[in-house]
Amino acid sequence: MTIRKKTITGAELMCRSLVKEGVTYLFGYTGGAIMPVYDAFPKYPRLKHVMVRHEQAAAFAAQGMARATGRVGVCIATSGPGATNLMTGIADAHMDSIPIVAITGQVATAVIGTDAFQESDIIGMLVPVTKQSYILDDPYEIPRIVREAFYLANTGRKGPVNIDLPKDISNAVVPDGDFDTTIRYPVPAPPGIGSDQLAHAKKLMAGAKRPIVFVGHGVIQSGAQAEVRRFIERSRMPFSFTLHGISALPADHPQCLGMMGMHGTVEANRAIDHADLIIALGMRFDDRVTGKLDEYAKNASVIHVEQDPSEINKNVRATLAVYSDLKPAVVEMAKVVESKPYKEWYEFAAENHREWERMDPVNRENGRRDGKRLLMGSVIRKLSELTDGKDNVVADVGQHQMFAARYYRFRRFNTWFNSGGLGSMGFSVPAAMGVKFARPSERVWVVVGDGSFQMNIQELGTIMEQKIDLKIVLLNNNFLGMVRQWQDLFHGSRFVGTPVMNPDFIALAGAYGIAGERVKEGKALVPALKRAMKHKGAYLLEIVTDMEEMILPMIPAGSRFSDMKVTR
Amino acid sequence: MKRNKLHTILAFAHNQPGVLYKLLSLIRKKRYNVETITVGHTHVAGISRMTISFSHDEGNKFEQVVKQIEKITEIPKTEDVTDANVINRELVLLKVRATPQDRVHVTATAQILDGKVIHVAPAHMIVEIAGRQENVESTIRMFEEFGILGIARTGATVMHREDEDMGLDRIVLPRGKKPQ
Repeated sequence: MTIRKKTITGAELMCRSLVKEGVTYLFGYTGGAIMPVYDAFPKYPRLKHVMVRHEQAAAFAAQGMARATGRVGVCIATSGPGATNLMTGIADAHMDSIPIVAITGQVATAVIGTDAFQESDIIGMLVPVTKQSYILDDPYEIPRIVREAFYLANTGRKGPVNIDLPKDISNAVVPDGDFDTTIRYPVPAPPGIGSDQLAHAKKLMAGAKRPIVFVGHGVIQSGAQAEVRRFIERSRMPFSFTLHGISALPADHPQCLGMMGMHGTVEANRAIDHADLIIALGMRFDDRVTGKLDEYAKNASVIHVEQDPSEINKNVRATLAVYSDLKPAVVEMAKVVESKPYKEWYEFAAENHREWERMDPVNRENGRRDGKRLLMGSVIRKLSELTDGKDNVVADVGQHQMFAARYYRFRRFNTWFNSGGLGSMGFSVPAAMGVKFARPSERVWVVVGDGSFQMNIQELGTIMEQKIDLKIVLLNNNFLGMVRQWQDLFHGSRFVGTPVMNPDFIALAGAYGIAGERVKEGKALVPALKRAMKHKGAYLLEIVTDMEEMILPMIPAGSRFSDMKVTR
Repeated sequence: MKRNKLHTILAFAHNQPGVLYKLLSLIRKKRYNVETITVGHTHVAGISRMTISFSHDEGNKFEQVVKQIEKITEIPKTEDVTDANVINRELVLLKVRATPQDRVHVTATAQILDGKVIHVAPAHMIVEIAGRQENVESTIRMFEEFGILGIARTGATVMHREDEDMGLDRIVLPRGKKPQ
């Protein structure tokens, strides 16, 4: 009598490995080369597949899941066009350090390299925008590579990992057993803050009269918000957010100066320009943060705490570079920092804030320009007030994104989601789907422009099918507003390629069974927002806004902070 | 013409498909031009030594490239050895025009320069020279009077005089894949 050994297929091994990693939702789209994996899904009921309508949306939805949970998001697509469609979402995750694993089907190993049907060299294309990419050529390697992929995606500086799975490998049948899951590439731990560095930091902090703390994305990603808050409150120094640092600490904190950079607040940017000490926590001094590098914060010493050594001294030279995880470094720094009132320094910030408040168009005429069209800023402010700053906001890319960053007063941790580094239009709707799956009991708002909305508008189909309760605030000015603003300011008001002829969005949503309404007047705004909040299920609120509105202040690209435009 | 400084990086990498592609992709993204690259096995199975020389003119950005290379998963150790006290050798094959009357001169020139003649043909000779990458240029010039018909250079390879940190503490070498 022969003993039959239990067998398992490559596709099943893939599914089982995903279950072991704690995956629940996968966002994807099937096709020829990935079919065997889809075929195995029913055997692993823990895996819930969400079919999107375009693979790019799968990558963004996986990002939404990852951004909201801190765990690895998963997207899956077939070979060739399926894989290439994922690329924008993967590149976006790479720029914003979001941990996702992208599983792509591949043609059978025997025909790889022959230009087979739906073949693409996806590894070759993804190398510059992934932390790691694998092609599986041995079914026994599946458990190990999945383990390693999840580990690498979410360890150290986070980012996307791609696993390319040829069809013959997922179809292969192998004896089941105990598979090797050794991680071959352990991520080195940062050395942390040394005693010499701590002494140096203490000296710099003690000597500072005009210090400012920068709260970056790293504060959210490392979950160091409590430690950072303790440091900030102990030191009593003012702080400012990077775009991705927003919602790490509450916006209404008395020491908060708001967002920094190109569209940052007047008080934050003037403070940076006059600061004598910058303490940068978990951020990379992106060009939208610094403007002209040679002129950036010329009088400031810089303490840069960062876990990715290649970001230290990349753009801004650090007086003290601390290559460390955020939490332990900030805990140590809090022990040596002196508590000082910085009275004049706060008065300087308050004066700048008052100056802006007097000029801010959103404060005038009830948030309407010339008493007519609504302003995006005032819509966001109303939304913030109605929700008490406690809802999740997923923005797309453009003026509306900056208005959301500036006028929504985030009061809960990690509730602000947007594409910062790559600036991918089309991000918001699919990313919000991921956020909603991660936080089913919380309200999730999409803030999107008419241009961005149409870049992944097909996802209304997914929203319909999955009954995803998203509240979509469509700020429609019938223009690509951010580019229009640049054309207005820097290109002699020649509006080339920016006016948009739009469909009837409400009718379109209606075709997908999604309720909605159009708001044209200021007095209709609040009742409409309330209806959206009350409505069970997805709701589209199209708000017609003024096309001439600008997001100000603005530090033009590559300019000095003193060149900040405060009025039109 | 302004000549950019030649920088040399020593890296240890897993001998895996695609590692070189990743490295060169990164260097390309920074818009540096690779002048020479040598790759070969080390005494540790599965680990390769890579020596890359490239030119660029932005001194302060260089530090960041080294740090970024070290972020490549399969590269546990990278080092800028441009000004380090290391052994640096490049092998050059020179095809030199040599009539029977020239042979003595070519041979003598090769000997003075620590090279040797490895092939003789009726009208040319092939000379093999090894030396520091930056010295090789002047050595080649010594043969110009005979007429150079061809040059094959390997690019520099570099080794530390004493112990080398190959980053082995940062990797786990593969073991058997099949389930037990």
